[in-house]
Amino acid sequence: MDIKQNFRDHFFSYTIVVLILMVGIFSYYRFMIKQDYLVAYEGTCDPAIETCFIGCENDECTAEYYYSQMVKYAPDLYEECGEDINDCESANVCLSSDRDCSVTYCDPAVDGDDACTTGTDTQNEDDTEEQPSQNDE
Amino acid sequence: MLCYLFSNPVYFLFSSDAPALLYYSHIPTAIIALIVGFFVFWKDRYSLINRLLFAIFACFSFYVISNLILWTNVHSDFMLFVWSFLRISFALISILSVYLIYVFLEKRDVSLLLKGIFLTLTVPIIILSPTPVNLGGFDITNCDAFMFEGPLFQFSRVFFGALAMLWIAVLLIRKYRTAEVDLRKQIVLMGAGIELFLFSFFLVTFLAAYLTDMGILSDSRLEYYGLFGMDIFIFYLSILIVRFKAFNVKLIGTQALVWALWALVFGLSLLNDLPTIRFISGTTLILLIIFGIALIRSVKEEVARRAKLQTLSAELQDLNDHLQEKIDSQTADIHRAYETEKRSREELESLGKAKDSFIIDTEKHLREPLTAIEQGFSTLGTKLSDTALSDVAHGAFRDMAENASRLQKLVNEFLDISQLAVGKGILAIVQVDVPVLLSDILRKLAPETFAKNLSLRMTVEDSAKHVFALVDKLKFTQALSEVVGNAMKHSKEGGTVSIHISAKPHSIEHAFIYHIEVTNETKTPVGDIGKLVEGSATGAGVGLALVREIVRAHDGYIGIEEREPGHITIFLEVKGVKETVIS
Repeated sequence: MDIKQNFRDHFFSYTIVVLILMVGIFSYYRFMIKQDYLVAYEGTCDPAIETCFIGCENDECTAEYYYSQMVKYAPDLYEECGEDINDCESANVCLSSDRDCSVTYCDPAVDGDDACTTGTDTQNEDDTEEQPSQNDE
Repeated sequence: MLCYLFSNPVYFLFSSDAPALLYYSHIPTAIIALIVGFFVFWKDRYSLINRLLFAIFACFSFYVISNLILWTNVHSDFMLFVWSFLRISFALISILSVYLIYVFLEKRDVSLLLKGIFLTLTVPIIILSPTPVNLGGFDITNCDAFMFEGPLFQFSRVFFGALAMLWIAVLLIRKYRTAEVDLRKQIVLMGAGIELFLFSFFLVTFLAAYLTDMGILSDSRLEYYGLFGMDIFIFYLSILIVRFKAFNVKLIGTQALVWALWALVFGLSLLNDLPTIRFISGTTLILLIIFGIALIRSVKEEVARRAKLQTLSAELQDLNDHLQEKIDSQTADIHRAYETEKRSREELESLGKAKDSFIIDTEKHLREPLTAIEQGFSTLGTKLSDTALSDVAHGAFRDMAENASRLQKLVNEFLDISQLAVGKGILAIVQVDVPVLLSDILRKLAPETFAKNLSLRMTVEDSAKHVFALVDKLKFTQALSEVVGNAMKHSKEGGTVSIHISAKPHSIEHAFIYHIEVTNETKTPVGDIGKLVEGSATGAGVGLALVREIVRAHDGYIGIEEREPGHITIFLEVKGVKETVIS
């Protein structure tokens, strides 16, 4: 069959297949090799100082915990904590070397009163510092 | 990064944190979709509609497997890589469904313009899927990327589903109005199947994700139920294939039911709740497979037998309807053939009678005048010998008498041949002592023998002593005279004519085969010696032709050979008998 005619009959499928292959290569490069993405996780939060999010330890919510919403750039987090952020102090703060880091605390106006601590709890943690959010790209 | 609240899966897919229905809803559905897709594709891979169906099933299976990975894996980078293909699968499933319905209804490929529209809708989502616009990050607490999905990603979740459902509904309704009854049924089945599939797949998936985003649901496991829409679609497709032979696939209902049963039991074995259930369902599955194969085989044979029976029944019916015609036609043919044969037989008999009558008349009209002429010449010759006639006159008269005699002899021989050939020659069979007969013949032929200075030799074997030939003496004498005379006539001067007589016992008691050979050295080269016996009617060989008829009339055999170069042997065989047996 004529190549032109063949392409005209199948150009939809050819285009899709080529695009998917290219997207696959790009996606692999971006996520698996460069790790160009942000990572969100629950950071530590002191309800005595900040307005923290309230989380439940179990489905019945018999025990609560308090957290802040951390977002860091994946390569930075890898450098600081490796693959697992458990027991990694650097994960709970935005360091000066972090390229894209933010700490979000609970806002009753946005998240609702039930989701936030009231802020009346006091905690004498001298080494707890509030880092300004760094949202530069 | 690892999702720190979840454990690593075993064998890549199996995680202890996975909800109970995860594997049951995902694995059988993906496998069934792939199998059905391959089956339809394999049956007719050059058909566009089969290829489209395969593409939809492949995309769906890919989506399901990706979803399964996202539910069980804990590595954020790999999960994001897989996540980037989710919306591509969505887009392709919806657009390919529209494409499929077009081809199903119109029975031809879509226009270039429509292909362009399809591309316009899908290309942006494909290109943007892996970019930060659509996928910015990953939540390793909840182990998902919902909070980082861009607006295009979220919008496309609903958009493609709604677009496909509406578009397909319009196409189906439009075609339904103008379709024939048979096609209308197919439209209803196909439409119901695909719309239910799209509705359940897109809407339920959307709702699950939306409610999870809102925090109303802790996770999006509600989407599992959306996957069962594919099973509904396959169910309707099976009806189309079995009842309407759609997609150029031959499938019997039993096959489809048995496969469905296998799939359901297989799915049961994937339930995560109790190991016992898995063991029992696994065992049940194996037994079902064995029995199912046997059932399918027997039903297939039954269907084939029924089809053959129907064909035979149709042929029989046709035969019944036309049997009388065929019988009448055959009878008429036989009757015609019989009449033809009867006419031919009658003509043959009449010709035979005419021939016999001709021979008798000819014999009467030829022999009598010739005999009269020959006798007249003989009487005249006697009277003329006393008168005073010139030598010339005597010579002329002698010539005329000789020619008349020769003519009479020739005519007699022709008539004898004809009589013998038609079986009219009556033979007076007696026991004849052939050596004595031959001695008489040789005495009569003595003048010719002396004239050519020939040597005559006759040998009689012991086996022929006391054996007589059973022949008509007059006719046999004529035959032997002809053979010996012929041998002498064609012999070289001073040559030898040998006669050899022998007899050998026949299988019948007291019967013999009497064998006479006459050999001479020829003076002329031997041509086709067979023709010497077969002879011709012109006179050269008429004598041997007469000998042949005489021998055949005696149920004997005559042959001629050149055993030595330049020596001809004529041999005769007739029936013989020992002298003690009275004939």
